[in-house]
Amino acid sequence: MQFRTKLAAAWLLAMCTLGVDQTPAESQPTPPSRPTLLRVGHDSINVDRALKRYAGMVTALGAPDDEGRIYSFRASPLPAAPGYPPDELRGWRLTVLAGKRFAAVFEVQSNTESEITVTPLDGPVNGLAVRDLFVVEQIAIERQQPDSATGSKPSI
Amino acid sequence: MRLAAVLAASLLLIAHASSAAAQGARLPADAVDAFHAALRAKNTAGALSLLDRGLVVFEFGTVDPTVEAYALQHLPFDMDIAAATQWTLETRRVGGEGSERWVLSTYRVTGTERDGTPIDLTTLETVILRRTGELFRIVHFHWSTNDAAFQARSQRQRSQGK
Repeated sequence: MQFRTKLAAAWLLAMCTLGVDQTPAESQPTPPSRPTLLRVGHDSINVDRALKRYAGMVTALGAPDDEGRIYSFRASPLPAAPGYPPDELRGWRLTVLAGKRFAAVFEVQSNTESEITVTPLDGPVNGLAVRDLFVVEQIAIERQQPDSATGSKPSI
Repeated sequence: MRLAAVLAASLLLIAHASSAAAQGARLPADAVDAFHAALRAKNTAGALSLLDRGLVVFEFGTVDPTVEAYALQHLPFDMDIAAATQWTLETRRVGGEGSERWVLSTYRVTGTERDGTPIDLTTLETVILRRTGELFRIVHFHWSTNDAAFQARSQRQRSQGK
């Protein structure tokens, strides 16, 4: 419990101290007009989750293989929870939300309550760091295949 | 040995192909539309790749001060909303110059809430974009409402970490 408290504090600190790059926006006070506005906004709508998902923070990196590639790391759920259901995340998509590997995607190969191992299909997690954030979602990665006719990779 | 090399090359190609990073758009409005499309497609990395690392989000009176905070706390919910509703662009104005541009949009949002309540509302969206190289990425979102009661409800839910 003490560890979780420390982790929560670290997360809050990270959220507050992550650098904010202020944009020198040129304000243009000319919003689009519409004669009649009904309810506006979208954040208080109650809808079902599009995906089952767990978020987390990296707490330690796994051991590298003989070639220095790392495919596993230890993590804690965010918000704080007892742990990830063992092997529930197998085949799920893991997306990195912070750090050098921001927006990198991996497929989970296996997991324990506190450790996640990814498949080699998307490369190693090298570059991931302690306190980096991620989300694991119950959806398969859509990998683009090389064009069988030309052998070239279709553009994204 | 040769088989291992071929396998390694194949893995490298697949890994490269599956990476959704380093995207952006050549036109500011395209970046905005691509972001919404990525949300609808439940493509987290695709959405993130359209965001500048200096992103700040203002939404209904609250702030996500960093891209990491938005990605962790509110992007998933925005994805849920996008997947459950239809967004129709009603008006759009684009401006700015050089590497700093803005896109102002209004959307008619329709659908059904979990309890069957119809959704029929308008979202106002201000987006500021910055060009890096040849691609624009989003540095600021502002979603707002002119309905005080609705905004209060939104703020209460967000402050509760929904």
